[in-house]
Amino acid sequence: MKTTKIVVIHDDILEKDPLLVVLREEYGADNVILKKKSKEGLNYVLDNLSQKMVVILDLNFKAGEPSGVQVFEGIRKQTSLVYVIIWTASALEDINREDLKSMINNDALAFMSSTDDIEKIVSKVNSASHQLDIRIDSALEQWISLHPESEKQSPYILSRDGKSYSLNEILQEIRLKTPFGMETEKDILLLAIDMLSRGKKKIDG
Amino acid sequence: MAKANQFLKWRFDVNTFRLLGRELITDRITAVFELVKNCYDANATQVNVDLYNVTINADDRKITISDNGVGMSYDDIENKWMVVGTNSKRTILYSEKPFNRRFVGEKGIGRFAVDKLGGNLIIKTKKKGDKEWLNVNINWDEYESKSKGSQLTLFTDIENPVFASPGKVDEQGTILEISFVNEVWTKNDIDRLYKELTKVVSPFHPLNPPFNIYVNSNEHKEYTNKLVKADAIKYSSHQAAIDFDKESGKQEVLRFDTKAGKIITDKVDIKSFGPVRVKLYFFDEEAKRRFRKSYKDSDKRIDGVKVYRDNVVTTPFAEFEDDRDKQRDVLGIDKRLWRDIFNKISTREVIGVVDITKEDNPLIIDATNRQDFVDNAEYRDLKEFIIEQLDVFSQVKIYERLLKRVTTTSALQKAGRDVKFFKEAIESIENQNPTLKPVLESIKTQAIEVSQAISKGISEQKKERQEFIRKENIYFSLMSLQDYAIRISHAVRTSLGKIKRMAEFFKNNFPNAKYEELFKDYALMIYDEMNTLNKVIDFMLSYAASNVDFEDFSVKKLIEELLYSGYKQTFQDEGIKVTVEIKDDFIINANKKFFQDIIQNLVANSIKALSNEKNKIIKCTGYIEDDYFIFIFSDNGNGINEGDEEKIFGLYYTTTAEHGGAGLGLFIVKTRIEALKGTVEVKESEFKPKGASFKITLPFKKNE
Repeated sequence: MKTTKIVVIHDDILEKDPLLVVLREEYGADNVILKKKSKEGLNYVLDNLSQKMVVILDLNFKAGEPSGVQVFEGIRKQTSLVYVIIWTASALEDINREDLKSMINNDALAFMSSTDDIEKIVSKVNSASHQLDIRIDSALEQWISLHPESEKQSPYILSRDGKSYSLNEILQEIRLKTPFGMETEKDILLLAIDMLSRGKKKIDG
Repeated sequence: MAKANQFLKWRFDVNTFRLLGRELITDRITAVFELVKNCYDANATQVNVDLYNVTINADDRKITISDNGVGMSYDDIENKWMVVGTNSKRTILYSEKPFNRRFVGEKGIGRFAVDKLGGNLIIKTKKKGDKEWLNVNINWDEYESKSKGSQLTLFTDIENPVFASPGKVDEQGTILEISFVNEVWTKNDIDRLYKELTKVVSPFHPLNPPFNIYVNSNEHKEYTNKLVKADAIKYSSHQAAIDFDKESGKQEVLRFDTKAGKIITDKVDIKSFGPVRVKLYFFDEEAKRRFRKSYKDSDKRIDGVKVYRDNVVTTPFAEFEDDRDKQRDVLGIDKRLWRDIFNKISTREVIGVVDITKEDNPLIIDATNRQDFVDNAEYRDLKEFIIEQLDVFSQVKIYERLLKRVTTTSALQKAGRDVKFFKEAIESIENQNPTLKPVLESIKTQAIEVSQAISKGISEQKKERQEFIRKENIYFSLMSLQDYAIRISHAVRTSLGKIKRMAEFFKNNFPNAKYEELFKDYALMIYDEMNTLNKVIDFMLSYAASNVDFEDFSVKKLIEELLYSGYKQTFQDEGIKVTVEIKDDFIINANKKFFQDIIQNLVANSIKALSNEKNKIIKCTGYIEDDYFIFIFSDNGNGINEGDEEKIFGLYYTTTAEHGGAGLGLFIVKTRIEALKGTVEVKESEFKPKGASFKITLPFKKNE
């Protein structure tokens, strides 16, 4: 079963919308979340940054709610690890140019039209989810999951400033892009390259 | 330092970013502008834009942009130029002393501006102290041809040759030499470029150290190292300037003195955003004509208000946009036009300069990721302040139009009286001296003719007024039509998307028993969605079908007719008691169909809201208050939830879905009322604690 959470932030679709039905088939009912209020959607994403997440985001919300672009910027202020797919009924040329620039600069994964095939949207979500899976934090998560629960919680490494981190905490730090998290991520990469240079066999072994 | 036969590689997929660059820099004038902005950021004091053989279809067309700025090191090129970094990542906002320049270039995009201009680029650059110039040769088209080839190539594998050329130690600067220029530049294009470049530096306060731009074209004599300098602002019909006094903490503001008929300045406390200097030049129709005549190109030079911070343009960042409707209006000047298009000042009637400084206006913060300011309370206050100053000119406009109308009308009436008096005088002479009758007869006939001509003149003038009002009305209904076209196409696409997804689900899964319930739901939902779409389309078509003709009709009569006769049967069937109390009558010049739509949708909305009520009442009251006709429509149905007062007017917002509500009715009410220049709001229910009351306010013009 896939572990990526798919968060759909859209004020004009129903829980039983076929897109959600199909996504639930692929990702499991608990992993597909619909938020009809953009503010709630943003809060949900920010509260769950330690999860692997793909966000499908509408651009137009009712007056008083943050707009899709604002939600997007809100997410990017915190993390660049969440993939965001824009899903809108507006034609690309109707979107405000500044907003478009902001989305491009903030690394939107894709722009989808509300009349696009479900299949096309799902395949974008799948590729985003795959991208997530092959990232260091995801590989680490998989590896951690092989350990017994007690081991996940107990101190695993000591940072240079003397603080200790459990396996779960390391994962969290990497996802939240803290200085320690980024340092560790780099160390893991260097180690992997080092091992690769010493010969493939050792890795397999 | 560069060595012979070295190569530099891009650090990203150039092709992807080239596409984006082309999307964002759609115009070559913007492209040059972007590059000039980069020169500014490099603390250059001089930039030369040299266009060589660009007007003819020659093979050796070349554009060279050279500056005497700080230049780039090998490391800069390798680690900055060849890497995509969005300008949002910039952390230092100002360049070093004595320049103190706010960075204006968009690094991430500016680079691809070069690609817009031509196929090949040589960058020559040198920092002070380096012994040699560094040269990098970039051939954009190589990427294109590689990407078309069958073999998979990483774009980062493409090598850009680097070589060194001799230089003097104290030389510095950057030269971009663009060859294989894509397009022909006509004289007109060069003129537009020149004009756009005049906006970089404030026309009133030159920079120190200077930033001089020279445009040079070997094909046009007038562009022989021509210094870019803004023209003096001439021909404006009205102008005003405000200053401030930091000592006393006072800011000047503009006010229109109706009695004296002129603009004066008042002093107020310095505002939240800090002291500002503003110069505004307003062009009335006559002034615009004079302006156009002397600057043959067009009235595009009259282009609204620009904000200069420390004398360099900040917003709008003079991004060239030929289509006026697409021009950025960051100050929101044109957004207000809707309400009162004929009186409000638009960006097409005014040239304005707002001067702010880093020191005095620290709360106006430059946004790092876009070309605007951070949207905080102070910036909003500043925008409002600017608009308030502009509104003074709209008062001038109203005042002068009224003055003109009053003068013409009274002059005509006076002439009419004079002729009548003249005729009477002749008649009295005639009576006293009958022998003069044959002589005076022809004079009398002429006087009668003149008198008739004057009467005709007066009625013509009246007709013209009416024609003006009629045009104003049509204009309004078209404006609102444009607005719904956008909203409706969005709504239709949303609906179609839903239907399509459900149909796609059927296509892929039917008759899988697992989804039987969903299939049933979807079938119903598709049906409902189609009905809604159908209503939306009928509504759209009503615009096509209803003639845009405006007619005079009595509002009282129309409402009474509709509610007492038109819906008589419906009200009887539903058991609704209707009260209509229209106190004052009011003749409106409008599209009757629009008005009927308003009543019809209010009634339909009430019927749905009343469905569970035993004692059903609809009440309609109308009266005149000041210059408005107020019309209150109430029912004692299930009312509107608190907090929903605004939302209910939105398209597709419904609380009565179970009664077939599609969320269209109140949307139509609102848009139709807006087309009549009125407003609609939810007020406290007359049948409190139950029910709902809508207050509709329609303006009427007593004097017209």
